Amino acid sequence: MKLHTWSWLSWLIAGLIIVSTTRNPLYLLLLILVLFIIQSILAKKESHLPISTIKFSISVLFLSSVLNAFISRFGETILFKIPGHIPLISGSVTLEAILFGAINGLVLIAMFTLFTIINAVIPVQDMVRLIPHALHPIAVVTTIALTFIPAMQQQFRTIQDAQAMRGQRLHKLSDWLPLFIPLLIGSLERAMQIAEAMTARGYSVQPIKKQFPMQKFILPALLLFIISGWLVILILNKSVLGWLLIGSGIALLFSLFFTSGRRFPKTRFHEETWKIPSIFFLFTCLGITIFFLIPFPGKETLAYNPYPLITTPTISISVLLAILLLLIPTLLNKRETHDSD
Amino acid sequence: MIQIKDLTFTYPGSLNPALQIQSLHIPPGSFTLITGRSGSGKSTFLRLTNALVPYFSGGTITGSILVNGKNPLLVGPQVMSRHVGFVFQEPENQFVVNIVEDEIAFSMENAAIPRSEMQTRIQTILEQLNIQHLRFRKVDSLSGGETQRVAIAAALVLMPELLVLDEPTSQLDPQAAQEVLTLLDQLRKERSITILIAEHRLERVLPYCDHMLNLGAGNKAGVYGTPAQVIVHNELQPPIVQLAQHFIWQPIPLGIEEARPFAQKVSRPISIPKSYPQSNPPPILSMREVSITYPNQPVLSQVNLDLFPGERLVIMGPNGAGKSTLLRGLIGLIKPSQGEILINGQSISDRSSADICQTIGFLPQDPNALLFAETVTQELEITLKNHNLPINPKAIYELLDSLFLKEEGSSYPRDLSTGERQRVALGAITITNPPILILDEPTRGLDQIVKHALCELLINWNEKGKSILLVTHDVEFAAMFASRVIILEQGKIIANGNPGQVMHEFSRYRTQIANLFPETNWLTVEDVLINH
Repeated sequence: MKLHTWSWLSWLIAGLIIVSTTRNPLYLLLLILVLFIIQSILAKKESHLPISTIKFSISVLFLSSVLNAFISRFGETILFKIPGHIPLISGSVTLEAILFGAINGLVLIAMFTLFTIINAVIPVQDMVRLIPHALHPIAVVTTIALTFIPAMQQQFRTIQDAQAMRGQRLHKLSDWLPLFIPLLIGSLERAMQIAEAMTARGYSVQPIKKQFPMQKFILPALLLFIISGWLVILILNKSVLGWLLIGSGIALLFSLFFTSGRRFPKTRFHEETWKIPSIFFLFTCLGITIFFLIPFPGKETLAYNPYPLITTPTISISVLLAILLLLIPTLLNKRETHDSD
Repeated sequence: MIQIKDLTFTYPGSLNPALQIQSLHIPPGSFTLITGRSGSGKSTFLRLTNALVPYFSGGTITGSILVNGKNPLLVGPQVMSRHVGFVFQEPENQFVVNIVEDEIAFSMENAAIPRSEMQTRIQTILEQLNIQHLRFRKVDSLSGGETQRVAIAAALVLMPELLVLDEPTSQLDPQAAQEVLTLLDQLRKERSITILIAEHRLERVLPYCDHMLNLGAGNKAGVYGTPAQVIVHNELQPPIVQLAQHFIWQPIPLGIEEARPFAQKVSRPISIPKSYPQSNPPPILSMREVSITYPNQPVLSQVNLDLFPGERLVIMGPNGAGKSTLLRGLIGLIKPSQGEILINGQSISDRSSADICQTIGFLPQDPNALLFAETVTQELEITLKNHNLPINPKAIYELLDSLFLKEEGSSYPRDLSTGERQRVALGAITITNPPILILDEPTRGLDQIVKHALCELLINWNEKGKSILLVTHDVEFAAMFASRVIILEQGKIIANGNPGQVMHEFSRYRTQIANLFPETNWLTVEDVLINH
């Protein structure tokens, strides 16, 4: 069963909330482990963890640790000293600085893996369909841009091979010119071909219907409402009136989307339906998000600072269980069944 | 369906019109072939029918054009998209989304067709084109023939009255091309749509069309009529028409079946097999038990192949048979998972592609991938610099002269015509004077005149000592050029030998002449005339 795109996005948000609310290395390690398991199970082509992810993770962990070790001078466990007066470099290299860098690396790895998984499980079209109808031109341009990238990669390989046949070797910057020019020109030609093909198939950024006369006033009006609401709260300290004004502005924004969408009379071939697993998945992710955002027993274990002296990070069972709940899509989601896969 | 009166179109910045048509009336339900040399205005004409020209190009138009009673210039391409389905020359380059059913639905979404109606139409068109199995496939996983069918489905799903196709068979193997043309003919009969098709390989399309427009002929105003009327004035004629002209067959046959009664009267002396160079010397290039595997997919399986000095070897096979992979293996771009590749008896396993290409000149399918310099001369000089060879202006001039490009030495390569760009790319890979030439689909997009010139040039180089291996779908070109033919199917060599024998044995690779005289070993018009 394919899970709803909004469910996956709530999963992404839950993951990002965890990453941004904790610096506890044990939680981060558990989160990365969970993500690696999900990636291994849900990745479309490989049934194992892609080598590129492992290589990337090791590189990031190494670089962030080394970099922080050389630029941070905090910490009490001195490993060695770099002599001299070189700015940022000279001074004590501490174990705490290395650990702090490694924690930052873990955060980066977790974020990268979260987006890699989302990229693998949500088709481009499903993602683009989330863009409001009023922004249809943006949706189509996004689709094209996304489908353009694999085509450009393919073209780059073709050009690289063709130039290698002429004895082209890539030693210095100017050696890239024979690859860059055909790629640039080829990409422009392809962009033109796609534009022609889309137009020939009825796509137009021009709206079919004329703009509703009052529509041009909606955008300035909604901005006025939101800014004045914010100022009322800030200066006059009248929060009820302020929120009323901001709410009116947001309502106008939705009405603008609605009326603009009606100017582009288009239909959608796919409309995702909500099924019980997707709803269950969505609420689980919302639960995880709320759990990490509100105060709860054991929340203090989320924070961790290796400075000035490394201590053992404390852990809470409830936090560990909340992180493990991110594994839920592996139980609900099956691989997509496009026969090309 | 299409009415034109005194139409001329000139691109911005150009002094001469790209298209001139005095008077034209294409009836509804007809199948019209548009022909003419490269640059005669075929694509411009096709794009005028749905207003892509001048909507995208700009330009000056005089005269009038009506398509299905509408003036495309007034109503614009979006309105015309409901009436004109358009299939471009390279359909894989204009797919907008990546799943087949989404691609087919794209134009219906733009036309705000209700979802239930979209479902019905997609199901119907998939069944009609017999591609239900492709519905959920990714477009980049389709073969050439499948890609073409999906593009046709996407163009037809809005039920246009006119279907326009720009060189739809140029990338297809003979069988896939025939399938696409048969499909078009069937669609025309079942749905009464009008078909307009531009194509260089006339021998493929002529049997299916009932009208023909030769652009650039007849004092540049174009000649329109039935195929038999137009083809006799055409400088580009398929082999059967050339034969009919020679033997004065009337009415002019356009296909094999029409020509058969006439062919009975052509005497067939006891056929003496053509003599081809015997492959006695040691091979200059070899593959020994080579297998190449892409992830989860074997492409070549234990292939043994030799190219002997002075040979002109042609490899043919269906789309996806592994031909391009074989060529990439030969020049070291792909390492075999098994087996060995040898140049002059020496393994290439430890040599780089750049090093191998001092011995082998390789022309890829798309010559544009090679061209980036400011001038044609510089393109050749850069290859010499890359190989650390001295720049010899005399050698460059002589090569450009042999490529008929001596006047274009200071031209910007990408401004040249398709055939000229092809020759510049050939120059860029042969300036190092490699003893072996490998060419991947060199006739793609070339008209017959340019194709003949290319064939003569290659034969000339071959006579001066170069060994040439090329891959093509163009059986007529293969028959003109080859001294030996190999058929590759599903990663295996299934035939290898004399072109006359191989092309007669495998009916899907037969030329028109081979089909007309199956009991001989004739392949070309020259074979018939010499033997008759």
